[in-house]
Amino acid sequence: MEKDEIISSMILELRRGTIILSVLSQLDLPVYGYNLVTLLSEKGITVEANTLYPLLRRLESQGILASQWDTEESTKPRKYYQKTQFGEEIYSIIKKHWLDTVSIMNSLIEPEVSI
Amino acid sequence: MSEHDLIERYIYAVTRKLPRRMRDDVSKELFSLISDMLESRCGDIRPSEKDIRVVLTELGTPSELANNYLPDKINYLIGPEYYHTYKTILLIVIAATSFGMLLSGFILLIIGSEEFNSIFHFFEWIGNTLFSMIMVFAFITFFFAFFERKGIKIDINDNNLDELPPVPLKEEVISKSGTIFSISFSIVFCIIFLLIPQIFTFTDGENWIPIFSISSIHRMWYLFVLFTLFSLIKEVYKLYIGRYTKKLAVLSIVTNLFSVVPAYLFTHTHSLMNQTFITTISALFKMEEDADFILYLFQNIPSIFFIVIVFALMLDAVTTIIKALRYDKS
Repeated sequence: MEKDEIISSMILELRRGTIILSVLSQLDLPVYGYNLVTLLSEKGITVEANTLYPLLRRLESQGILASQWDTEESTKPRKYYQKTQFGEEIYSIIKKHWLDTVSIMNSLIEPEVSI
Repeated sequence: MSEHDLIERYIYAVTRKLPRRMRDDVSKELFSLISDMLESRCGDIRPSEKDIRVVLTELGTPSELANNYLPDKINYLIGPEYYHTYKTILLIVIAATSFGMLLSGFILLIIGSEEFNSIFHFFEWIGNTLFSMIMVFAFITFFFAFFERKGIKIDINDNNLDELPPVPLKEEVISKSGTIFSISFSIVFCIIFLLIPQIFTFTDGENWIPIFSISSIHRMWYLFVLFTLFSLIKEVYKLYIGRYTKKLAVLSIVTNLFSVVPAYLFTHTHSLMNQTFITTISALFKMEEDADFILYLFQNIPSIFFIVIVFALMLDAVTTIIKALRYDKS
């Protein structure tokens, strides 16, 4: 039991860091929240709506995302989020960090493969 | 209950906990999220109440969801910065208070005081003890919550590496156990002195005569509490800072100066001594050569007390200043 708990909390910790990057990667064009949940889950990333919605809002308040309510497309009003210019810059920097980290991590945990 | 009602109640429960400016937008957003989730679950079929319940459960409880929306900085009553000190102080003070209360109750029971002559009174006393613990708890919590709210830094500034104080030498460190002892002792003494001043007695061989005027002490209790409080503030800070610093020296000067006021009022407002005690004493020394002088001394016990207190306060302040100047090179 305890072993499972330790593992799941570690996985949660690992995933937490990746959420922002996965979200930013999908927001070149305007996407609304729930659509993003399904988009990501189709690609194998599970993000709960109750984490994603507050996160989108936080990124917006940091100027990384911009949002717009679309009330015309359907009867249902939806809030669309998209990366801003600033968000674009941030994203490319963070992406580079990620790629570096991945290659370093790979050489750490699987040295034979990477050499 | 209609389905919409359940969703509305859920959304209201979430947004109610959010800042006003966020509410409308979050509420609209959640409404469209929930209908999206229902749509993907049920397609074109009208969702049943059960579907709604499943979807809302998936979103988590309203307070969990609201917490996700709130900014990272959570409002603490007492945050992690103060919590450790808060817990230590709370433990010491509550332990000392309950010990003092129980001890004085026990003493009253043993000496068979008039107002304390049955086991019933002892239970009543235990009730009083619990009440005083709650009061102490409330007071300390209020104090720390005030610090938290005002963001008063009680910590040594550790943002700047250069400002980190040097590792203290052995003699620079204020002993934790010594400070804890003096905090506990002040509290226990304060309680016993105020609640059962009659245990300070004198006997002429026949009767037990209280040294102090009990009614005066009961009338001026708050002065004594104030006096104790000033010394507690200083001791608590000592416990926290753990070494002699200039700040501690300043605090000692301030609290010791303030202490003089209640000390003077306590010893001089009402007659502190029991008059019967004075007359008995003077009767005892009637035959002596310097009877007048002895009587004079006894009649002026309050002033002597006051002088001794002032002397002790000065001594304390001066030693703290000297140690601070010697050890605090910052």
